Amino acid sequence: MRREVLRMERVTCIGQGRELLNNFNFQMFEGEVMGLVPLDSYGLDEFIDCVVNNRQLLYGRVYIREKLVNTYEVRPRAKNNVYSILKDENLIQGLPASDNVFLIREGYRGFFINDSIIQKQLKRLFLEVGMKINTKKRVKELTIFEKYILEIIKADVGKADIVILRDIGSSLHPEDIEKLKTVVQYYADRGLSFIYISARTEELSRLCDRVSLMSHGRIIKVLEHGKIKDNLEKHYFFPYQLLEETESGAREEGQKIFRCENVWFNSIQNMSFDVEKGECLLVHDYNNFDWKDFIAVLSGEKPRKGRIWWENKGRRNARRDIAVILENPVETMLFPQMSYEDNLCLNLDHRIGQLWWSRNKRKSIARELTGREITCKVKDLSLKEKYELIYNKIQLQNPKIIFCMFPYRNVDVKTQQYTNKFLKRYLSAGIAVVIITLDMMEGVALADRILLFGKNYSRMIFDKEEFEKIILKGSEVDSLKDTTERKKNDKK
Amino acid sequence: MKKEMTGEKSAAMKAQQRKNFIAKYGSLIALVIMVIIISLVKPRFVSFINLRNMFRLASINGLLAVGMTFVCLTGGIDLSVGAVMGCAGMYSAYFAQESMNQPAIVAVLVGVAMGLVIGTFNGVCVAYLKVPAFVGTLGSMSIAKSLTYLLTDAKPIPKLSESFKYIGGGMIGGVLPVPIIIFAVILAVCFLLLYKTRYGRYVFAVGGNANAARVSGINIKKIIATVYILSGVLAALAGVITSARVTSGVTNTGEGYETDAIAMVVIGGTSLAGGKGRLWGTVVGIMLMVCLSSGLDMLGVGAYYQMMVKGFVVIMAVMLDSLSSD
Repeated sequence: MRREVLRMERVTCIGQGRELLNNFNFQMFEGEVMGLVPLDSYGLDEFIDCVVNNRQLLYGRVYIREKLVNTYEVRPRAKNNVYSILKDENLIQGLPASDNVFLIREGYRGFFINDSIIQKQLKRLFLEVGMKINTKKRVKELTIFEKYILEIIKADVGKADIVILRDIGSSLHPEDIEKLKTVVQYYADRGLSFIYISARTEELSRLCDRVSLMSHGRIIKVLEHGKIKDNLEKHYFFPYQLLEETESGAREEGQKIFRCENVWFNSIQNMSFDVEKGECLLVHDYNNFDWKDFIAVLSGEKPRKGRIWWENKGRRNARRDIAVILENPVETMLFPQMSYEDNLCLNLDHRIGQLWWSRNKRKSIARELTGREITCKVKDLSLKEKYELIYNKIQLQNPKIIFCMFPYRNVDVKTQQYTNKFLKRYLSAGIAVVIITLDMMEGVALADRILLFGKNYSRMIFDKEEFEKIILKGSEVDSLKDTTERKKNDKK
Repeated sequence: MKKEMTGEKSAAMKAQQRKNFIAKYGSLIALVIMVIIISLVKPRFVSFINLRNMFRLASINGLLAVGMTFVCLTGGIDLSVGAVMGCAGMYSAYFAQESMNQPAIVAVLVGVAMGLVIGTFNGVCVAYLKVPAFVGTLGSMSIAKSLTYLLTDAKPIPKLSESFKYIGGGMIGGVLPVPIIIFAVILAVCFLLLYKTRYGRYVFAVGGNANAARVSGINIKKIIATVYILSGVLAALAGVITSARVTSGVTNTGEGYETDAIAMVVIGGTSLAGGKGRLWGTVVGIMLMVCLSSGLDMLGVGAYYQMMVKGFVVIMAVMLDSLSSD
């Protein structure tokens, strides 16, 4: 019989004045890869906080390896030996990979360090999972996939009870996900347990032994391996997909409002594309551009080569014709110390004079937009209200074009749909939207054109219909590149 | 269980409200309690003359603290304000000597110009050359000190013109000291700037979330540079007033004032991480530090012990702020 590694019994947590985990029951076993699908955003962070940090409970008990680690009666101070991977935030970028794995961990008591030994050990660990890396490299020089594998190895070396992988597939290429599956399976066979949080059917059905569906802070269903794909799509994702089928109007053919011409700036190399008024351009990047560099160029940094042009471009984006929605906007785009109305009106002062002189003016704008008076602090708003605030702020700004950075990464199904709703609203108002994504299927429903940045700076552009035909034929990404290179390689 | 949860929820909310209240008004409450206690022990503490002296002292420190508030709101720090104050004081005193035969306004403008130049240097270093604020302003502190000593080879400058001395020692209507009037005007202007203009909102935005501010179309480099310029100018003005008040240019003017200014800002509830703070809090911080100093003097506490007490007050203020934001 397999040993139980995690059990959560009737766990209830409150936060921001509401129950974020509500009678939450969860159970997983040693060596199991358990998927977790957040159908909404309720309680996901709290779930992780409970498992990793023994967050204060209002009710319930948490057991790890059959030992009671947290209960509503007493809150223990110690953290659990649970390793959570979200991006590469657990690694020290400036240190070599071997140091990160062997030295930078709790309980390491060595004094003298023999670099060659630890590098050899790390090399061996990578070879065990069928990978080769230069172990002398600093973490910042590794690819994102190598960083994830490094973190999994680090978790195993640290004898973690559970490893939480939080939507890491969203930043990986399809071929890397296949490799990830091999690595996860290898460690699962050795007894390491994984919780894989994602809202992507493909990944979940490929990687997970079972999948738990979470909604409103509860587990509503547990699906066995064979039933994951069918059940998820038919019974849980289908209602969301139905909502998608609407047209975006007000598109005016041919009028270019933005051009990026052979731009070179740090990681951005020879990037070219243009955007028409009111269109939705889906940009899919295989080339590992650091999009922060692109934002820097949009914000006024001078590119090394090439240029960026948009209508009425001054020295800077003074008229705010360009808007950017960053990845995970509720964390990255709000000013928690400012009031709701100040957050809302921050991008509006180029359109309305004396805006900052009168608080009543700002309040009335907020009231008109939301239909009610919001007095609480921005950090106390619900997730939906925060998204609403950000998207309304952009709408008030009234830009000509919006760059939306990885809007579907690390979000639940409901938020994905909510994001799409707003993007559609922008499009119907004649605002062009550029969606930057790593997953080819994300955002296709909205896109008018799809732009792929391939490896070695190649690029391809498709119409939506053409792209859908290719997808229907069932061709994989690589063959898709081959066939379309002949057909529609954009040589601009 | 439902009832239990509702009770827990309201208790948690009440505790949070209490914490917020303490964070917001803790310094003010401490100031009021301190004034009451000291005035009970030493009734002379609340006499008109003593209050006037305290306000006069506060007006000089206050100029530094107000400038520092802007800098801290962007997440920066300006360690050069004390040195800039000394430098500007010396240069203005140099031009205010009776032998120079210059109108007072020339001396004032020279002093303020020194602050403007060093402030601009700080701003360019931090915003455009990406030198960390701590290092950049530490460097300019040294430069400003060097400029001060070079002017007169570290000798004081005596015999200043009467019109210049009026800036520091004059009284409006024989009652209200000129430095207090200057500080009140500057404070009012800074209030308007911070709370009623686009610039002020951008200062909060840059400190609160620089990335988001940048994608919102805010020129963050310009905002950061300007807060250092403002801080430099206000420090220089404080230096000019000090020279006029002590009726001579002294090379060690402003020494250690930067730490006092930072303490006042922190006591006032402004976060050194940026984005959070209030100008009225800084005013409370200024008054708290000045009252503490004056009160301890009256109670006969030695200067060395006073430093210790001030240190504890600053740590307490930051601790309360951290606890409330937990």
